[in-house]
Amino acid sequence: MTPLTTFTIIFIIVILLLVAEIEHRAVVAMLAAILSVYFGISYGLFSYSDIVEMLNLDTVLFIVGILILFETLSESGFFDFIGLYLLQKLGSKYALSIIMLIVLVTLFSGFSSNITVMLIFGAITFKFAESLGFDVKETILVEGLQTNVGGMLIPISSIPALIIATKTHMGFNEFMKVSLPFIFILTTITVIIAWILYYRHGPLEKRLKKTISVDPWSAVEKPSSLYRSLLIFIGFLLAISLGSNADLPPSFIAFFFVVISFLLSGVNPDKVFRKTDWSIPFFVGGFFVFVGGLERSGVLDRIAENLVDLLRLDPCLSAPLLLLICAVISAFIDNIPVVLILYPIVEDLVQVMGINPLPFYWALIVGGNLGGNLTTFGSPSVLIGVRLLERKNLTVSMAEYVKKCYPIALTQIALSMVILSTMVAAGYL
Amino acid sequence: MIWSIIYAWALMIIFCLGFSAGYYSYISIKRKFDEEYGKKGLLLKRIIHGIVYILLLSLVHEAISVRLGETTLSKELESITFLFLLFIGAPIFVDITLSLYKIAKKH
Repeated sequence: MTPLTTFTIIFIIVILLLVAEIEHRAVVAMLAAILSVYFGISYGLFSYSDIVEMLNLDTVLFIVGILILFETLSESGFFDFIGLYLLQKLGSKYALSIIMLIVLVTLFSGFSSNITVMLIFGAITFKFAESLGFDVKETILVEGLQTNVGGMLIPISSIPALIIATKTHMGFNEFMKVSLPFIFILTTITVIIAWILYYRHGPLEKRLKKTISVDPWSAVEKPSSLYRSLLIFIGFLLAISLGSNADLPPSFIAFFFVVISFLLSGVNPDKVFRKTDWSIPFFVGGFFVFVGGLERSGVLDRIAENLVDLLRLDPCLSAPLLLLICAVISAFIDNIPVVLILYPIVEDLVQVMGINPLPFYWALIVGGNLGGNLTTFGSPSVLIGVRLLERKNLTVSMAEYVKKCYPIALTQIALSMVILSTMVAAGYL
Repeated sequence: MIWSIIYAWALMIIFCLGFSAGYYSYISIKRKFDEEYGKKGLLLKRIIHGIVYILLLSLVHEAISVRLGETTLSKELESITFLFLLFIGAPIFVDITLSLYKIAKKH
């Protein structure tokens, strides 16, 4: 067997395991890494010392730092507090409450993990629905879709965004210059479509007159911890946005604030460590090594050959098409491997062809995030939303999901293609 | 004479170990399928599992030959590995075939 054949077989095994979800995705990534290392070294494609470089340690450590900081902020009760505060203030205003829920889910997904946001806002939405008499099923599903839109807000909002921003050294300002128009337009359209489809007829039943009395502070264990965690997180965001000028690696900045957070926030580090999703760094790290193996064995070149014709087209057309491809693949496979595999291919191709890489990087970020909205299993937050509904005996079949969510999900993808194309044509990217 | 007895004994032990390891691995895989995935979509997962298994077998052969070449040692090692994997693989394929048969019978 040639290295190309062997690595193609490993590639097929990994894709099959990810599609079928037979094993945990982190286990699949580690299996892929182990096989890549064994065969890569045996074939002489790379040596042990190259593995550290292939692992992209800086990116993996940055991800770990971000996960811990997100969890610290969540543990301080910040998200619960904001949600309950809104419930208290807007509990009787039908339209405003629904719009605020959708907007806040989008916004908070930019600053926390989508799963955390979905869990917190899922619980809050059930309370709102009880008070205002709107259909909770549609609202939870729309919120699930919006968590993935929020995943494009800042470079640390989602793993695909983080990987591309770190690898391309894209600063906060540069990133938000592009992400904000996307998020503003997509959220506005989502609110409009959701309103027309689900809420325009007003409450489902006669509005319940009772007002919900909740004390937002009841969700906060120590108010001082909340203030301090929030201040530290804002400090981190400022530092990371200025860090590129100071030539400091992102992982250093993240870990500096992790230490500061543990020392000063008053949040119990043990609780934070327990709640942190450790499978993500293992998954990303394992996949980095695997992609390194694919690159050195020539598998990525073979895939790239199929993309050359696409990238030869006018970027106004090729970037949106890449976005569509990335979205369709991300509907069935986790968006992290999709971006990890497509990124080096696109990077090499744009270098060889001498074209502006930014439209294509954004195609990967947007496509990777929005693609998860096409299936109930494509994105963890949508899946969490569906599970929350199931707990209340509100099952969502794939057919129902298609009927209820596709008008929004497909519009978001189509609109993103138009926005990206317009940005390229206008020279904005 | 003594060496051939030891050789036969070693083969027997390896065979028994292979059978035990394979049997318990299969039971654990089957339990995982039955418990975690329920009945819906199970067949597709089992078929994908079977394809992955076949692909892994080809990698096992490559993993041994790439390190040891086509030597007697590599062939012996390969035979033992395949023996172990056979004990896991054979029941999986029987299971897939039975599942397919049950579905065909239902329709």
